[in-house]
Amino acid sequence: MRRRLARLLADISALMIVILSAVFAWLQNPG
Amino acid sequence: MNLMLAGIAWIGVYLVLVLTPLLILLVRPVPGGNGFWWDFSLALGFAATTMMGVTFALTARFRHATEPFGIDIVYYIHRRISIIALLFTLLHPVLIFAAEPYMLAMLHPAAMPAHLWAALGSLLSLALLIATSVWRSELGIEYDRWRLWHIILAVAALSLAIVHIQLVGYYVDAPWKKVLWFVIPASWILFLAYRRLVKPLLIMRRPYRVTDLREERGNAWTLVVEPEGHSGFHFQPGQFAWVSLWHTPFALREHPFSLASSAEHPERLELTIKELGDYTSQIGQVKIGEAIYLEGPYGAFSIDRQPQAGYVLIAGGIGVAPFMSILRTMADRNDPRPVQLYYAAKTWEGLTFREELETLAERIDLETIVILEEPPSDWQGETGWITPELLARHLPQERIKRCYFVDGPVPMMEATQSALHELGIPAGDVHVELYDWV
Repeated sequence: MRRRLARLLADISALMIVILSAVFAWLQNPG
Repeated sequence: MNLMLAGIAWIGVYLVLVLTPLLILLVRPVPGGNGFWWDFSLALGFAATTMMGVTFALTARFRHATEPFGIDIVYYIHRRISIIALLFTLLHPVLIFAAEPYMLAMLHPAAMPAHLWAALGSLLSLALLIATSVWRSELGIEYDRWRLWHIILAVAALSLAIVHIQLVGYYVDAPWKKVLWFVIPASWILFLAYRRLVKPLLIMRRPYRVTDLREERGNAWTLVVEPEGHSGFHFQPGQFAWVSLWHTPFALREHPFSLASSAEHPERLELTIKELGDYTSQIGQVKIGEAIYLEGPYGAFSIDRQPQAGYVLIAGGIGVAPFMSILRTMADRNDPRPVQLYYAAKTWEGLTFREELETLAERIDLETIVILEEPPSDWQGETGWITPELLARHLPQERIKRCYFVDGPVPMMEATQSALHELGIPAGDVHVELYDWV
């Protein structure tokens, strides 16, 4: 349970980093 | 609930730490975009670097930061984040070369610029670091040696990534950004300095002395230690401490051991250690009066964090040590709540704390179910392994209202968790201490 929670926390933070990296790239290349 | 909020707050802090250096890159002056995938790959590269850096903070063992999760979980998150950072680090060049295939020519050793050598060094250091951590046992790397190389490779991976960023200069061409992207990573290395220099110094200022050494059943020893010149620390029953014996806390040789004594007596701590490896097999040679250093307490594996109507403790071998702390504390507190202890061991003669468990059953509402792997010929009790059938035979009617703690060898803990799941015990009521970080 705790191990799964740890993986989930790490994966959610990684997903947020991927999304923000995409936003970063989009802001640099609008349209 | 407060711990939950603190946990969420710390995750927020982590995301801010990782993402702020990335957002700084968007502050003007910003170079023009080079295509979505190009800039996406650059952002991933920067993010991977900050993720590497923040892991130095994760492993600095800040007690307040680790408290909401338990430090075992923090190490688990550290492990997972590092693997994700390696994935991002690999994606960074793959996406660049996919977007601009002509750049592949730069990989020729004769033509490779310095910034790519730095990137390659960083990538290889990180890959080696992850491989030696994930497969340490399989590779036969000794724990203490692994720790030294883990630090060296981590510093190399981060430093070379920063050299790569500075040499490329893209996005950090403004002088203040260049300085910032040097200062921030340097501050991450400071976490390592805190962990390896400042913290050992603080631990050395609060020494303990070995005041007794008892031989226990099952090739185990109980070390009794008392604080010297200070009041020691308060702990919750079930927690553990990192112990430095025969070395100062500066040496990379501390080992985690459960506190087995009552939490009501922090002035006299007991650690019960089984002879299992090179280090623990020497415990019996400890001299009375010897100096010992303790760092702790750590861990979320405690009944004090789970105030339920009753408890089920499931131990395999020396995994009983933290449960002794729980039972002794309950006895000292005159705690009336019922407790079942399932205690799996090899032999009856090697059952550590056998006699004391009988005494404790007179002081608290304790039922002990012993499961022997090699029972004596006249044994009437349970034998073999902990199975759903075995648990179902003994668990109380109101099993759903109990809180479960499991401690022992990793395969035993995994089998027990599956058995409890099969019996319909909610996963949130089953607590384990994770040992398989490396």
